[in-house]
Amino acid sequence: MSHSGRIGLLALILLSLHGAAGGTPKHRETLLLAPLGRGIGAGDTVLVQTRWDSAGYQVTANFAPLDGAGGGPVMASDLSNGYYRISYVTGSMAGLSDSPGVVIPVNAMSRFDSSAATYLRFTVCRNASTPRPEHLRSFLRDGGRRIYAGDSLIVRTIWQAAGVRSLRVAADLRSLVPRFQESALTVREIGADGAGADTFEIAYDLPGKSDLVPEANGIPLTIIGRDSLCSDVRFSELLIDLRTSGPPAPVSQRILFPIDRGVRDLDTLRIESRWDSAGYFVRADFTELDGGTGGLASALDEGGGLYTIRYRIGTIAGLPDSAVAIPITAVNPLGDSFTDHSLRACRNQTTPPPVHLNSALKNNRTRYSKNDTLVVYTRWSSPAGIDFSIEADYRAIFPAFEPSKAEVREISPDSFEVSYILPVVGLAPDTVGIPVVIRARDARCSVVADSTLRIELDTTPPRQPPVLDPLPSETTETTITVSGTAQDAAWVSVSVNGAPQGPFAVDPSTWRFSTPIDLASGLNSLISWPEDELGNLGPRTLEKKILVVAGRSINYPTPFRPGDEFIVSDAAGVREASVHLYNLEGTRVADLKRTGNSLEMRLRWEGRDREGDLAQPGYYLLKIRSVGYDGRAREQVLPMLFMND
Amino acid sequence: MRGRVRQERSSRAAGGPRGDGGRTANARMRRRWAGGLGPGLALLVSLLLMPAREARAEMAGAFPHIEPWPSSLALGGTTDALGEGVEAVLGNPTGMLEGPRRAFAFSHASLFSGGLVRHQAAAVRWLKRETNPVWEQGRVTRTPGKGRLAVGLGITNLAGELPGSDTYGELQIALCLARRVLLGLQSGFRLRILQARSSVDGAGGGGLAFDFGLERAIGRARAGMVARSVVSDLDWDRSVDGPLPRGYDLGLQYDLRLGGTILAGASLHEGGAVRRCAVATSWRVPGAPLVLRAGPAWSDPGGESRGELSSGISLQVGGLSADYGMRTGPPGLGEIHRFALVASLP
Repeated sequence: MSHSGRIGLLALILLSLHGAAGGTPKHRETLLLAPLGRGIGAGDTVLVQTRWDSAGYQVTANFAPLDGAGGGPVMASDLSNGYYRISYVTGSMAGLSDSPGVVIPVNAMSRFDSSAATYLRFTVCRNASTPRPEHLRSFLRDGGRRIYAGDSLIVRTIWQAAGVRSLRVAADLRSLVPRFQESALTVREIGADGAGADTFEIAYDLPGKSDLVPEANGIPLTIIGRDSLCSDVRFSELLIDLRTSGPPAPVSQRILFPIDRGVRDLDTLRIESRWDSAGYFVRADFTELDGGTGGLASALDEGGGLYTIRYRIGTIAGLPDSAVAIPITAVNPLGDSFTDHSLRACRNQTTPPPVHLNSALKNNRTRYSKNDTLVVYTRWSSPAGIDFSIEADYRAIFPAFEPSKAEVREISPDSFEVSYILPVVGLAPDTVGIPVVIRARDARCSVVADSTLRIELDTTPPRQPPVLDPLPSETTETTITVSGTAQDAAWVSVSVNGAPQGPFAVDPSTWRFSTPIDLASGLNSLISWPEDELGNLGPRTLEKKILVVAGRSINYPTPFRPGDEFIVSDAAGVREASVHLYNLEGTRVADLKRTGNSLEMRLRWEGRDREGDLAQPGYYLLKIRSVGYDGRAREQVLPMLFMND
Repeated sequence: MRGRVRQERSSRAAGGPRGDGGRTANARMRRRWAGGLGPGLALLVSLLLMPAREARAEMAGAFPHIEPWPSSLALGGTTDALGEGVEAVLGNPTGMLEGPRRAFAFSHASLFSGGLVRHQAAAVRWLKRETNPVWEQGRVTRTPGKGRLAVGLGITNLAGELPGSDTYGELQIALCLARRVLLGLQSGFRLRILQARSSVDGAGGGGLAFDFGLERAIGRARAGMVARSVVSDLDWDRSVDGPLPRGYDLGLQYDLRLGGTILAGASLHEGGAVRRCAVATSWRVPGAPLVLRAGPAWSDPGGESRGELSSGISLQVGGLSADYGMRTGPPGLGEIHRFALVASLP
């Protein structure tokens, strides 16, 4: 190696050493390792770890502000990789008050360059005598320990706060909600007793199942009490049982067999039981029905929340005919259960069913269309003299029919009126002979149907709109005759400005119609449409506009004085009215203008000319111009005497 | 006329008494004017320069300015400041110093269409001329000279219909005096007695108005000015009393050859804004007793700024003249038609 090479190698080594611990130290972080969860008291071993950009620095800390001792800076041990640790045992702290903001100066200095130093201020708590918060008790406000997904978790926690500086309470629910954030908590102080115990309420809205841990029992919640002297007291013995699904919820229960009578000896009762979920243990209690003599009721999980129960009825001979409840209970795998008491079955060994006497359609009308009211009168009797109810089954007319939509009115103990308004949409196709089914259901579960009545559905409207004879575009009459031809229609209705008039009869031999129609003053909009004898509405005609022009007379006082009004009456059809005042020199003195759509238009004149000055009294000429909605203008010249007092 | 001029020249050349006598009379007249009319002129100028009255509408209401004669109507109102003869009684009173010695005129007009408003005017005028002594054929004879003093009386009546059977009318009686003053100026004054009456209760009133006019001829041109309602007061039975809005008419006339005349005029509001301006021409048909008049005008330039067209004709036979004039009005209001008869006596 040459002489110059040696010099270069030496320079490289020096530079590398300078790069390792030379230059101004750059601080990364400083942590207090001990004591944690409380302020630093007398005799504590304070352990501080500080990290810098490089190893090899001379790092010191001065703990004199903490305990008042004059021992000077404490040298840190170099842990390599830029980590340094400082250990210091505090003195007596006598005469020093507890404080949350004691500043410990820390500095790092390069070993090669004493002028390259970095100073920082590290803050700790001094707590030699102030008591820490003490947890007394925590519990769920609503009792128990079970909570469900989506519930509000409300915890009451009681802390001994006597002498504690600025007690605050929080909770750490990461054991329950992995993405828990403390800011989502709502904490309020409930009250304090005389012994220094403070009660707090911590509320938290649990998220849905997907954001919770799997359901389990005995999940610990951590309740935290903090003061301003760095105390952080944690209590983790509050245990809860998390449920991400609720108890079983019933959907429906119905008997599949027998469906139109009560049960008898040795019948095999079949029940369809629907719940909100599969996987439940479902059982029915037939004790009240047959005393449980039929043996076990087996429930079969069909999946999707459907369960079927088959039960062979035991001996019910000797038991009175009556309707009894069959409670059905479902239990989920966690042991939560729910019992549905809505299903009722009948014991019926001897009670005869209701007997249909007769039924009739109102007015013997057999043809119906949309929006018609189907009215059926029906008579039934009960040989056993027990109560029965009547219901309609019009699914043949309207597949989505619901019995509750048909109104049943009792006319006498055995006579009923069933009314139903046929819907506009969803009716069965036009058909002749659709059965009208009326059912009687008695208190012994007997159901008897009658379908002797038949109706015809005809919902097809006339295909063409009426063809109107020519109508005027403008008229002074308020009543005009509307006539025309309406093929296949029994009636024609006419709408004037949205208000229907009619329907008016159409001559079935010529399909002609003619009727007087009342118009309003101004612009009228006429639309007509055909209607067959069942009320099916055909297509509408195009809108026809007719302007009814009235007199447009104008009134004003003589003499006219400031503030008086020009009143344009009979202003129907007038879109705009204007008044121009001229003096006899031919100078236009003032202009008034008003737009609108009313039968009377008022134009007020304050007696001011175009310059805003009070006009001279005297004789003037008015040029009154009114413009109709058709754009036609009408002008009048009238005299006016003006007095300006 | 040529003969007379020749005769005057010959008398001057002869050193006759016309020259001395004329200078003596003129000097006497100037002294009289200087002593009597000087203060009057000063008063008028001060009146014209009076500060503006309280803010009132400049647009006329009662007693509007209406051209009372077909000739002024046909010439677009340009002669309002350049009246001549008896018609000047209701125009620029200075014009009374022109024309025949005695004259009477009557006119009738229907203002705008519909016959809602009728307007009549009548005027009579006496003129005293200077007499010029002329040495003619060896003796002094006196020939009539320029007008020196004129007095006139005019009456206008306006009758308007009102809704229902009510009516409204305005009567004006004008007393006029015109004299020749300094520097070729002619001046005229008019006092108008105003009376409004109506079948509507409380819509009547009365008052006075004072007008003033000046005019001067320069060669074949004439310039004139009239200030209307310089001083006025009108008391209403049940309305706010007060003066009529002032108005000013300015006119310029130039006589062409072959009987033609062109005129220009403007009518101003009290504040100086132009109400109307017009140009017109009048042509006396050579060899025929006809005078044709026509011209355009622009009215209400601050408002509708509409154009108008005026025209008219006169038939003159001896001392009688029958006039017709018309002018278009604001759109929708129709035209004004006016007829008149004028009788002149030597």
